[in-house]
Amino acid sequence: MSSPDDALQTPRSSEVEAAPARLQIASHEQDLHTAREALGGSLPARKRFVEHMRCVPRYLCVLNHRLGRPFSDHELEDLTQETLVEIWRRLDSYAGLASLPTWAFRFCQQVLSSRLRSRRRRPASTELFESEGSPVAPGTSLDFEHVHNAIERLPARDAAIIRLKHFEELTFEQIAERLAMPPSSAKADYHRSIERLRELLDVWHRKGEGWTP
Amino acid sequence: MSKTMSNNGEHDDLTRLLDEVGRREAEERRAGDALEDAPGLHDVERVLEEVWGSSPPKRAWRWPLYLGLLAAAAAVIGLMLFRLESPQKVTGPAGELLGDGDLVIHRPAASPGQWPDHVAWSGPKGLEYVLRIVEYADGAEGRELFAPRAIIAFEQPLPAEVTRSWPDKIKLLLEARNKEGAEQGAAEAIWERSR
Repeated sequence: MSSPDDALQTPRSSEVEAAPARLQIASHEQDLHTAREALGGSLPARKRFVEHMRCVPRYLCVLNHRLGRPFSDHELEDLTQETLVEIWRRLDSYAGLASLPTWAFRFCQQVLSSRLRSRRRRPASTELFESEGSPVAPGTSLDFEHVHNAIERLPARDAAIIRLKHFEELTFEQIAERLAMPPSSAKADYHRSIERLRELLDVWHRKGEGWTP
Repeated sequence: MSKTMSNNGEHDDLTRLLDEVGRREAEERRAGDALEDAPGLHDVERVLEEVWGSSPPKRAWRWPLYLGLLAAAAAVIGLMLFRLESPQKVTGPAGELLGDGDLVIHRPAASPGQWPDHVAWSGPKGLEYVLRIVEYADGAEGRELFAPRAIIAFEQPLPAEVTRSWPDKIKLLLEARNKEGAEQGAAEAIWERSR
C-alpha cells in the first residue's frame, strides 16, 4: 500500500535537524509535538495521540457509508485496527502541516481503498456475500485516489503546495507564510506544481491508469 | 497558441478537480467528526497500546547513532591533526573526480535473522531522496515492500514490525532529486537478511 506522503510530511524532529534542507514550517505545532513525544515514548503524549486517533473509526464509518456500506461493522473494526497500525508505523513522517486527524484521514482512505481492491481480486463467492451492504457505489473522495497517488509522486515541495492550496484551502499569502517564502514565489511555485501534476496525470491517462479531466 | 489554450483548459480542469477532492474530503471529515459512535471506536486505545507494547519507542535505537557520530567526529579530528603534522604533498584531483558527493547506500548492523532498523545513505546535500524497497529473488524485482516517498534526510527508519514480514533478500533503490524534481543520481543495493 502506498502511503499518504503528505508532503505534509517530513522526517521527525531529530532527522530534520540533520536534514539537508527544511522544506516547510509546521503550523500544527501542538500536534507535531504530540506525535514526536508519542514516538519518543511519552505517556501523556500517547494519551493525547489516542484522543486524536478516535477520529479514525469515525472517518472509516463515513467513507464506508458513502461507498454503499461494502464493509460490515465487524470488518470496520478490523479496518480501524489496520489503519491505526499503519498510522503509527508512518508517524515519523508527520510534519505538522495538517492536523493529525486530517493527516489520518488519508490513511483511512488508503486502507479502505486497498481492502476494496483486494476484495475485488477475490472470487465473488468468498467474501462479497459476507458483507452487509451492496458493492461499491460511487461518490466518495476515494474516487479521486489517482489524484492523491499522483500528488504523492511529486517532489515534496510541489505536493505540499498543492495540498495546502486545495485541501487546506489556504491563500497564497498563508502558503507563503507556512513555507517561509515570498507570496509571489508561492503563486509561481503553485502554478509550476500544478503543471507537473497535470503532466503526470496525463502520462498515466495515456497509459490507461485513469485520469479524466 | 491552441496548445497553450488547451493547456490552460486542462489546468483549469485540474484545479477544479483538486477543489472538488478537497471539498469532498472536508465534508467527509466533518461528517466523521460529528459521529458519536462508530465500529471500532472503543478499541482505539487498546489497539494503540498493543502496538506500543509490541515495539520499543522508535527513538530508542538512536543512541548507537550518536556514538557512531562521536566516533566519526573523533576520527575526522584525528585525521586533521595527522595531516597537519605530515609534510604537505602535491594533491591530485579531488572532489567530483574522485567521486565525492556520490550517492551511496549504507547498511547498518543488525542482529542475526533481523533486518537493520534503518537504512542510511550519503550523498549531496540540499536534495531530496526517494527510497523504494522491493523483494528481490532470482535476479528479478518482486513485490513492493516500501513504496517510494520523498525523504528530506539521509536515513529512513525500518521498524521491526514492518521488516519482520520481509523476504530474505531485498533490493533498495534510491534516487536523488533536486527541488525541481529532476533526478540527480541514483543508487541501488541488494541486501540479504543477517544470519
